[in-house]
Amino acid sequence: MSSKKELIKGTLRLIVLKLLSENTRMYGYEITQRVKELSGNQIELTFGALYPTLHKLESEKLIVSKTVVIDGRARKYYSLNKAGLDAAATEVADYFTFSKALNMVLS
Amino acid sequence: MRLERQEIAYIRNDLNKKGFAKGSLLDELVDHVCCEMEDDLKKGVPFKKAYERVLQTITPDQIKQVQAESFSATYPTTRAMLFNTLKMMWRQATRFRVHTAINVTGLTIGFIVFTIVALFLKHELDFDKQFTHAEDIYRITMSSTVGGVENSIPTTFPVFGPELQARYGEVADYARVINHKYTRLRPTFRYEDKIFYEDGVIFADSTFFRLFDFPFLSGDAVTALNDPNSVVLTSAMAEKYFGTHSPVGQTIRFNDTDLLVTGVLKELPSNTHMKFDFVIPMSGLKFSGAFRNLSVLNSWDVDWFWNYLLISDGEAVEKIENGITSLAQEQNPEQTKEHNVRFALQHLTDIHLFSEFDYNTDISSNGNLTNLYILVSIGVLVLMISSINFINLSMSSAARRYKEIGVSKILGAMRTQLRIQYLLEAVLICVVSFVLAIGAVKLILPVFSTWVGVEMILANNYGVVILLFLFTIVLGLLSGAYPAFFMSSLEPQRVLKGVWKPGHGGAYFRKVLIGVQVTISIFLMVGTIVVSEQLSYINHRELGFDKEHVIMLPIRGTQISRHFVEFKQQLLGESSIGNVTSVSEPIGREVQFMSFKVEGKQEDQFVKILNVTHDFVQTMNLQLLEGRDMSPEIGSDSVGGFVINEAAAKAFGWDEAVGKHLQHVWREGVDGRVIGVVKDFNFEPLQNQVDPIVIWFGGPYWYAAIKTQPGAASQAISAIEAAWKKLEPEKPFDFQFLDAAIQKVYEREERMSEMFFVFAIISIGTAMLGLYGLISFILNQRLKEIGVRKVMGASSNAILLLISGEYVKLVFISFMAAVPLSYWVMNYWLQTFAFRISWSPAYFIIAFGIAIVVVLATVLSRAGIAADLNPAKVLRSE
Repeated sequence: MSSKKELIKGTLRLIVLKLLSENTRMYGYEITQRVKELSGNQIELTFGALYPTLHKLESEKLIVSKTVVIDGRARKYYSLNKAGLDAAATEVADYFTFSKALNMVLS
Repeated sequence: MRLERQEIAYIRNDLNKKGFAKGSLLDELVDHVCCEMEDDLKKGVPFKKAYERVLQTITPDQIKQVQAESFSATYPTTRAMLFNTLKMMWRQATRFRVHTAINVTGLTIGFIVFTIVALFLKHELDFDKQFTHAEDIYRITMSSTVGGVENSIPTTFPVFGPELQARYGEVADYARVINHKYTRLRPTFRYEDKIFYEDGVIFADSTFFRLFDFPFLSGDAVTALNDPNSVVLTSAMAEKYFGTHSPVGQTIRFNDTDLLVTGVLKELPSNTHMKFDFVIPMSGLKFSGAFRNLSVLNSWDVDWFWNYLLISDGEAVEKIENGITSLAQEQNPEQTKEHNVRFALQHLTDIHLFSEFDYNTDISSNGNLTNLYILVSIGVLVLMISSINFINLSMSSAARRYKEIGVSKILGAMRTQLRIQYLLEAVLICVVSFVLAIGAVKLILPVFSTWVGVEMILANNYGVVILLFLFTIVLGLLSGAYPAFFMSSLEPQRVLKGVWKPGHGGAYFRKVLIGVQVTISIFLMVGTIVVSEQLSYINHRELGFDKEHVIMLPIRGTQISRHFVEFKQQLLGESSIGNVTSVSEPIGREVQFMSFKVEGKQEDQFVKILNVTHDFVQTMNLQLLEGRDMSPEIGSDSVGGFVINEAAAKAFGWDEAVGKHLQHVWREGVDGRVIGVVKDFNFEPLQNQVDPIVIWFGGPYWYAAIKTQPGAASQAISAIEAAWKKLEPEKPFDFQFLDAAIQKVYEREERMSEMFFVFAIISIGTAMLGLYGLISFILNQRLKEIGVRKVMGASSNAILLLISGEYVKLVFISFMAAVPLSYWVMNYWLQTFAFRISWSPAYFIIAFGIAIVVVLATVLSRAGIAADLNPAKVLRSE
């Protein structure tokens, strides 16, 4: 596994939480596209990485899902609930604190 | 650019067909693929190309990962594992149905037997524990030595109760009890036109229910025994006499006295030694016909009372024990010293299992510790057999799964995971058997309770259930340990390459376990044979007297006993009747004893006695060795003429017994002489030696023994009834055949024999079941070996011989182990009989024969198929 893949795996949860906290609701493909866009095509989420994270967050009761039929197919939208919003805020804050510290260590 | 409806349907269908995902995950996958494709289509890529490209980014591996990770994300690990284990178990169970059925059935049977035996054991150990003060109640017992013979009885002098309470503050309460056994009449109760003999009558102090707090259905326990003319009865008796009427406040006639019913008790529990149907206050003792007034309660005349003390301080027991002996030495010095009388306090809860008293002197017949030990060991043995089955079968089925383990490990299963899975699997099967067993016990228990005559309910004994459950878990862990710890450590590449072959691991251990099973089965078979042989010996042994064609008619306290000669004359006129005599005891049970002065002996001798009238020797068909029977022509015979048995002549040291002096200590001045000696006969149960006995003339007239002509029993009975009605129109006519009465004495042994039989069958069946399962498995593994042997020219018969030979050897070794075990245990049991069968090699040979036939039949039923196989089939893959 390349180190980039490793890094994505470690931060995927954070990415999903952050994106969802800024949007009322998103579906899987939308998330992959947004991440691609925001990262300037640097981060590409695969099907195999994204969905387990979503399901895990769902089982942790941080996000809720709703299935809607659009364009003749079922689409599953995810959105944060109250606990999810709180988690997103703290986890992102934690990340910045940590990354600052990490920068100091690495630079 | 949007995808068309048909295009979406195509994608969905194709993804589904490829088996990428199911359910909501499939929906998500479809949406994801469609979105990605729509982006491609916008760029002008054709549908087919776009689909192929997108598919490439999604490999099945990735999907599987999504499934697994989503699953474990949704379900925490333990639950996932349990789910997985359950799934695997179910697959295994349905794939090897016979194997699973054998496993569960065998284990369930073992659990059932064990639970029932444990419940029975609990019932026996809980005797008399239901009373509030059970821990603080003691009974005074007495032992004495007369003429070198030691006697112990649980009855003592009635003065003890009040005297001890006055002397010791620790004696908080006392209750004396006496039953009708010593009274001169057989009690009858009458209500309206219902009249019955009742044997379960006791007289007790008014404090009785303070010590023995049996629950009342109606009436007041505190005052129930205050008035002499009152009676408390059990609910069964209430129903028998009063039907649906409420008995409290009604009058019931006891012999010739009216008693007021003051209370009805709930049916007595089966585990109390205090068994009765009626309680009459001690103050009403005069109605019993035994005592004219209550002065007996303050005297040292009779030691016929059970004395129960409530001792508030357990520390004081020894002090009081010594106090009783000194009290007796003080107030009754002569007898106490002369017979070296000692007193002891017996704990209430010890009465049932730890009583060894002489002369049948307890309220009810007590338990037999030897039989209980044997029964409990059988229960444990059956459980052992089925546990061994289970361990054996689990071990062998684990060996069958070596490939599964290899594959699991290659796919990344961790050793801990595998361990937990195998342990869990084994525990789960055990738990299933446990649940089945508890359900079955619930169904069987009522039947079993009626059979052994004790009431047992699962609901009151959660301890037993918990114990069994713990055992279940331990057994599961033990049997899962082999696959969990040994097999999980195998290196997968070796297993999958075939370097490690199953079947070798633990093969020796498994053989030892089978050996243990066969040993236990042989032991139980020998046990069954010995018990049933002993019983048949008891039933067919020549007792030294005729038990056939003898009717025992209880005449105690009836007009018949008062007009016995008239009754006898009338019967002798009947052609259906051969002979008539009277006797003081029911022959074949225990008898009373008395002190005699014996010619040539310094000390008084304690000798068992029978009081009879003329023609006893003839009626019972005893064999006269010397002298003669008492004769109506010789007047002195009915005063001081004694017939003794051989054992008595020997014990008294007489070579020529006839003419020797014999004098009852209470009848000084009456010079008695021995007039005849009879051959020893079993006047007591065969557990007892034939003791010396003195047969003398006179009362009490408790039974009429009537010898009928063979084949004329029914005429005889109607003749006896007619004679009875003439002299005793009041009381009901009731009789027993002597042989039936004697057989009843051995009811306990009879039941034991049945139990042995049932358990032997169960254990052999279980062992067979296990053997069958195991052999099918082992042969399956040896199919290739057998194939090679056949290719090399071995015949089917040679192969059968080879396979069965191993098992014959095994049975033989087990047999060698079973012989000393069964000899030792069964000999221990046989020792409880003074008259017993001698060991015969046949017992062992029969058991061995059955074992070998059963084992061989089991082996051959499977081996036959294996031996007849076409070797080409099994060797095809090599």
